[in-house]
Amino acid sequence: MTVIATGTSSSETNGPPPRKKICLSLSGKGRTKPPVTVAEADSTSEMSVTVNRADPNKRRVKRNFTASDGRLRREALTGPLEPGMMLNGFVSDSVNSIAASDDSPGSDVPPVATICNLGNTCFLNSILYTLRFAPHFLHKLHHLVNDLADAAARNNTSKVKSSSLGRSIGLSNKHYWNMEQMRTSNENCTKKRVQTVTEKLHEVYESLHSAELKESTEPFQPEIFLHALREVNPIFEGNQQHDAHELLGCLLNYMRETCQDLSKQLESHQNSELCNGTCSSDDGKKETKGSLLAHVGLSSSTSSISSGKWNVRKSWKRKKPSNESIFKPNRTVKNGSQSSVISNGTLTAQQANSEDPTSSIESATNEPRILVNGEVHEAGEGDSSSKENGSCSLRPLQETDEGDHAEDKTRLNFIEEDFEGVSVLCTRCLECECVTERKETFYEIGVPIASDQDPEKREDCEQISELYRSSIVTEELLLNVNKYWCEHCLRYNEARRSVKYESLPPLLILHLKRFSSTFGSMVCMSKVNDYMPTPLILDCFCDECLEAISKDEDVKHRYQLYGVIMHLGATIASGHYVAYVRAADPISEYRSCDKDKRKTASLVATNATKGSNQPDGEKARGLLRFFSKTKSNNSDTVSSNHLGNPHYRNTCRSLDCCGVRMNKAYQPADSKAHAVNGCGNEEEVEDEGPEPSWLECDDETVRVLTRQQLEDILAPKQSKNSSLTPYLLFYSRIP
Amino acid sequence: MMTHKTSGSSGKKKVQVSYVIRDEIEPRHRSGVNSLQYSPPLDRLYSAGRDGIIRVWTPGNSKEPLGLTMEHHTDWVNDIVLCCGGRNLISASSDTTVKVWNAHKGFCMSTLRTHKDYVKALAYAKDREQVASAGLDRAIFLWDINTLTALTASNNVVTTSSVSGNKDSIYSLAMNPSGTVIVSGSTEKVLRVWDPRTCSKLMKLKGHKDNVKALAVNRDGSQCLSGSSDGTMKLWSLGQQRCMQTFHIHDEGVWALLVNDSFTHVLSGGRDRKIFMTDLRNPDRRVLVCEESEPVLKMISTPDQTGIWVATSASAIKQWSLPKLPTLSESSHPNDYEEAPKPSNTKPEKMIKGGAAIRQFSVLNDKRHIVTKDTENNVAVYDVLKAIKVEDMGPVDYEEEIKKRQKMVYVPNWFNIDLKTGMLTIHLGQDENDCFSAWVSTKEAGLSAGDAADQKVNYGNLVLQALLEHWWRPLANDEEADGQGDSPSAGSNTHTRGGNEYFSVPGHTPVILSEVGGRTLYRLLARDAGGETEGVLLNETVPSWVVDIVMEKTLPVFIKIPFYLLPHGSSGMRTKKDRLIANDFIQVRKVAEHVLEKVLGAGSESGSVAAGPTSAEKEAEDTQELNSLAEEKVELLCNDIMLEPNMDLRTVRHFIWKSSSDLVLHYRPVK
Repeated sequence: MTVIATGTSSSETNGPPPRKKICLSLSGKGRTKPPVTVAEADSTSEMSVTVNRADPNKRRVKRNFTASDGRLRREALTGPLEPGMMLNGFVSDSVNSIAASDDSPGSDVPPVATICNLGNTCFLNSILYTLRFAPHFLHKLHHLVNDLADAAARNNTSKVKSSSLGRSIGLSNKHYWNMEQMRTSNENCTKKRVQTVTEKLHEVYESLHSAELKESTEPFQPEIFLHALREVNPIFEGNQQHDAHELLGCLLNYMRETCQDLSKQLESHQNSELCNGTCSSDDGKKETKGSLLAHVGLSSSTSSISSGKWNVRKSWKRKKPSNESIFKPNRTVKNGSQSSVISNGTLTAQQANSEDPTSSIESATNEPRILVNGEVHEAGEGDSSSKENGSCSLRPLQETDEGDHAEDKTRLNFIEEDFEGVSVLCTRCLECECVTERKETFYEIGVPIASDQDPEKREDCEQISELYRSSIVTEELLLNVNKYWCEHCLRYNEARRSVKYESLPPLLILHLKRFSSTFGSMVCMSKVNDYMPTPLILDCFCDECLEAISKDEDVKHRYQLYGVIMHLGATIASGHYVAYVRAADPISEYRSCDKDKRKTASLVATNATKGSNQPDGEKARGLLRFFSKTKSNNSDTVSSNHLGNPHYRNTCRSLDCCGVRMNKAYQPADSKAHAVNGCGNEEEVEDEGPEPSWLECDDETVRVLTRQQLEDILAPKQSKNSSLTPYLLFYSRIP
Repeated sequence: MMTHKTSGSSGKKKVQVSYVIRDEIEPRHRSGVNSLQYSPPLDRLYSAGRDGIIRVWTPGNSKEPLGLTMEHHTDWVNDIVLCCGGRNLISASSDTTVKVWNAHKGFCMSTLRTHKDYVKALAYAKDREQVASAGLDRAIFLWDINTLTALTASNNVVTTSSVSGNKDSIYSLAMNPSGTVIVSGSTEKVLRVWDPRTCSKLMKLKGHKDNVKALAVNRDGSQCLSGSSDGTMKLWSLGQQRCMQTFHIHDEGVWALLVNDSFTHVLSGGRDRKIFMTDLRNPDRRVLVCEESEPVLKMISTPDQTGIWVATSASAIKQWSLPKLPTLSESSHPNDYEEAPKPSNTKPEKMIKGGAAIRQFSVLNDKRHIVTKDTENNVAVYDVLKAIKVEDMGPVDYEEEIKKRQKMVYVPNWFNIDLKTGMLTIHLGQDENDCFSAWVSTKEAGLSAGDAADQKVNYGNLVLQALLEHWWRPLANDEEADGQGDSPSAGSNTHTRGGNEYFSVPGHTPVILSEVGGRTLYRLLARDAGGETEGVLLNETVPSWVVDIVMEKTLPVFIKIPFYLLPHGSSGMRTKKDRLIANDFIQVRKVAEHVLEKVLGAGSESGSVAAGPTSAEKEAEDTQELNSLAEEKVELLCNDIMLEPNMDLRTVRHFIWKSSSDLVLHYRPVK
C-alpha cells in the first residue's frame, strides 16, 4: 500500500471507502504526466492544453462526484451522524443553488466552490475558506494525508494503533473516545480521531475541487468534517455560534499532533527497519534504498515497503541543495524508473493476497492505484531518456544514505514549519539587571485593539506597521505587589518584562482581540468595535527586523495579507463570520514538489539496478504491465490527454486532488494565462502577473472583489456601530 | 486580661511574625553593600548593608575596624546620608522605612513610614539641612532634618505626579547643597527636576533609553550628570534643559557616580565592575581606575581626595587609590580606546573584609532543621525551632549533607524562609492553620528529658512562646531565663511567666512583625520584649491568635486526618468500610492497638468505632505493655506496603499513600 505514495502520490489514500478510491485513482492517473523533457511552452500551447484537458476533467469529476455522493449517502445511513446534526445540518439543495448564484459575471457558477452553512457554521466555513487559500497549505495537507494513509497501511495491526491513541488524545476526551471506539464499526474505526479531522479536512478540499471541476453550483456540505471535529472536541457540539479563532487554534493543533504522530511512527519504523534493510541487500552496488526494496520479497510486505519509502523521504530533503543542477534530467529519469517500485508493490500485494485474507482485501483495494501508477510509468518510460538512467540518477540518491532524523522530523511537521513562530519572554531584574529568557512557540499573535490611535496614522503603511509593532512587541514593568522574584538577588524586585519574537512563521496569523471577556464566560464577552487598520502589507517585527529598523534599515521581510476573517455582530456567541481571501494562483506552489520528485528519484535507482540486472525486477514489471492493461480502463485516454501537455509534469499531482480550481469565467481578463486550473506556464508564473483578485466567501455566496473593493470594506466605517470588523488576519511572508 | 488590637495601626492586613537566626554580633556584612558615607571629624566610615545593618568602621584601625552596628532595618538598607555635620544619619530601606539615627552612638531616633514601597534613594542639601527620600512608590518626600531630629516629620511632600500616567519607580535622586534643585531618575527613563523650595516642577529631561540609576548635581544646580542602565552617562544643562554630552564608557549599566566639587571629573562604576575616571570636558581623557570583583554600587572619596572607598554587591569594602589628575591626561590617548585599558590599580589600598551570605537552603523533612550553603561554599545546619545554628561544616558537599540528614518522616510546613539579607529569616505561617500545622512528639523532637512522658507539642506554638517569652514578664527574671534551655520551672504555667517549658531562643534574636508580603511594622529583640514601650507596641501589632498562644497558653487545634481501616484481603475477614478520623501525628502503632482492641478483640463491634484511635491512644498511654503487644499481633499495610509502627499517619499518607484522597489502611493479624 505504501506504493501509492511512493509510486504516484496523492489523495486517494486518505479515503477509506472503496468507491472513492476508484474515482480517485482515476484522477491520480490523470495527474501523472508522461516524462517529456520540459519545453518552455508559449502561451498558445498553454491555452490549447487547457482546452485539451477540459474534457477528461469533466468526465473525471462526474465520476468523482457520484462516488463521493454515494459515500455521503452511505455515511448518512450507516455513519454515526447525530440526529440533531441531520436536522440542522442539511440545507436543501435548492436553497443552496439559489444562494450560490449571484451577480458574478457571465455565469451562475461561483468563482470557486462554495460551502453551505449547516446552521451557525459560518465560523467553520470562514476557516475552511481561508485555509484553502493559505499559501502551500492544501499542497502540504495533501501530502500529510497521503503519508498518513501510508503509515496506516503499514501499521494495520490494531495493536500498534491503540497504543498510540492513548498518547494523542487528551484526558478530557478519554471517555469520549472509548465510547466512540465501541460505536464505530466501519473500516476506519481504529483511526485516531484527531487524525480523522485532518483527513476529513482534506476530503472537504477534495470535494470542493471536484465541485469546481464540474462547475457545480451546489454548495458543499461539510457535515462529515464537522462531525469529525465534534468527535474530537465536544465544544463544537450543538448549533451554537463559535469563535472562529478557537476553531482555528484547535485545527492547527490537531494537524500538528497528527504530523507529530506520523513522524513518530515513521521513526519507530525506521529504527526497526534499519537492521533488516542493511543485511538483506542482495547487491553490493546498491545503496540502502535499493536493497530495502529488493528486500520486499523476503520480509513482510508492509514494513519493507515503508522502509523504502522512508529512505526516499530522506532523499528529497538531501537533494534540495543540489536540486537545480540536476533538475530536469532527474525528473525525466525518475518517472521512467517508477516501475520498479511499483512492481515491488504489486509483488507484495500479491504475496499478501495468498497469505492473509485480511491483507488481501487491503491489497485488492490498492490494486487499481498500483496499476495506474504502473501504467503511467510505462507511458513515461517510453518517452523518457532512459539511457541516462544509470548515470545521473544515482547522484542524488547516494546522498540519501546520510539521512538526518532531526531534520526529517521538523520537515514533516508542516504545521510547525508554516504556522509556528517563537516568542521570547525576557525578564530583567531592575536591581541586578540580570536577564532571564523563556522561549515559547505560538501559532497566532493576539493584537490588542489600540483604541487611542491617531487617525492620521491610518494612512501611512509604515505607521500602520508601527502601530502593529507597538501593540505586539510589548514591554511591561513588574512592580508593586507584582514584583519579580529574582534568583540572583534572592528577593522580590521590580523587573522589566518584554515579549519579543525570535522568529515569525511563514504564515502569520494575527488575532485582533476584539472580545474582552468579563468573568471569562462566553456569554459575557463584549466586543470592541474600534477601528484597527488592516494593512495589505505588514512589516515584519521579528528580532532581526526590529534590529534593522533601529538601524534605520529596511526590514528583512514583509508580510502580505492573504486572508481576513471579519466578524459581524455584537458578541462572540452571536453574529456572522465572513472570510476574504486572496485568490492567488497556487500553481507555483505545486511546482517542483519535493515529495513528487523523491518518489521518482527512488525509482531511478531501482529501475537502474533492477530493471537491467535483475530478473526479479523484470518479472515484476511484467506483472505490472499485465495489471495495467487489464484493470485501468480509461486511464489510457486520460493519460494520453496529458501527454500532450508538456508542462503538466512540473506540478505536483496533488493539485488535481484538492487544489483550488477557480472558475475561468472569473479569471481577470488581462491574465489569460493565470488560470488556477493547474496548467500554468512556468514563464507566466515567474513574472509577477496581474494583481490577484479577492474573494468574499460568505458561506454559500462567493463573490469576486478587486483589491480596491476589499480596501473599501476594510476602510474605517463612519459609524462606530457598524460591527463588521476584521477579526483574524492572515499574512504570508514575502521576502 | 489583655487588650489587644488584632492588627493595630496596620489596618486590615494580616500580620506575620518572623525572626532572624544569626549571631549576636555580626561583625561583617553578610551581603552586598549598597551605600557608603564618610565622616571626616571622627574618621568613620558608614556602610549600608543588604543584610539590613548599617556598620560603622574606623578605617584607620586595621585591627578592629568595626565600631558600631546600627541594627533596626529588616531589609536591605539602600541608601544613607550623614547630616548635621556627622551627628545624624538618615537611612532608607527596602523595608519601606526611612530612619533617623544618632550617628555617634548608633541608635535609631525615629522611623518614617510614609513610603509604601522600597525606599531606594536619598538626597541631601547640606546648606539647608534637608533630606529627600524617594522610592518605588513613585513618591518623593522632603524632610527637614532639624524637624526630624525633633521627632516630628515634616509634611513637605512632593509627589512625582506622572503626567502621562506612566509607572515611574524612582531609583536615583540628587540635590545640590543649596537645595535649589532636586533631580529624580526613574524607570520612566526621563529625569524630572523640581525646585524643592516651592515643590514646583521645573523640567523633564528625555534621552536615556533605560532606567536612570545614578545622579549628581553640581553646586549651583546648573548641571547634572546621570548614569543609566542603558550603559551611558549624560551631562545635562539644567539651564538649557538639554543633554550636552553622552558618554559611552561602560559596557553595561552605570550605577554609581562620583563627581568632584568643580564638576570637572567623574568617577563612574556599574554592572561591568569597572571604575573609570573621566574628564567631563574631554571624555577621551579617561582612565580605568580599577576593576572590582562585583558590580559597583557606591563610591565615596577618602578625605584627602587621593582614593575612593567602593561598595559592591559583594560584602567587602575596598579602598582604591586614584590616579593624580595630571596622569589622567597623560595616560589616556584616544588611540588606546581600542585596546582593553589596563587599570591603574590592580590591588586595593585597604580592604574591610566581608562575610559570607547564605545563598541556598534546604528544609529537611522534619521541618525543623535547615541545611544552608553560603557564598563561600560553607555548609551549615540550623535549628529553626531554637533559632540557632547547630553545626558549621565548612565546605562539604551540600547535596550530600542534605541526603545524609533527610529522614523518612513527614511534617507539614509551618514556616517560610527568606534569604534576602544573606541571613536566615524565618517567616512563620500567616495564620493559625499554617503556623500550627506541625504537631510532633517531644520524644521525636528530642525535647523531653530522659524518661519523661511523651507529649505532643506544636512547633509554631513553641517558637512563638519562646520568641515572646519576655513579654510582660518581670525584667528581673530575664537574666536567669536566658540560655537556660530545657529546665521547666514551676511557674511556667502561670500567665505572668512566658515562654515554653522546653527551650528559649537566644535573646538577641530579632523578632519582626510585618504585613504579609510587605511593610515591616515592628522589630525588636526577643530579650527586649519585656520593656514597657516594647510591650505597648507589641500589644498594637501582635495578631490575636498569637496572643492567645503566648499569653493565654491556649493549645492550637490538632490536625485531623480521615482514613479507612479495612481488613487486608489475605486475612479473609469481611467488615464494613469505616471512615475514621485521627490526629495526623498518630503513629501506626496506635492504630494497631485500636485494631487489636476494638476490631479484633471485640469481634463484630467494629462497625461502631466512631471515636477512632484518638480514644485508643489515651488508653494506650496507661498500658505500655499493650503497645508492644499490638505491634506483634497486628500488621498494618497501606498500598500493600508494611507500615513501621513508629510511622505517623501523615507520613504514611505522604510517602506511601501519595494521594489526596482519603487514606486507606489494611490490617491483618500476625499469625
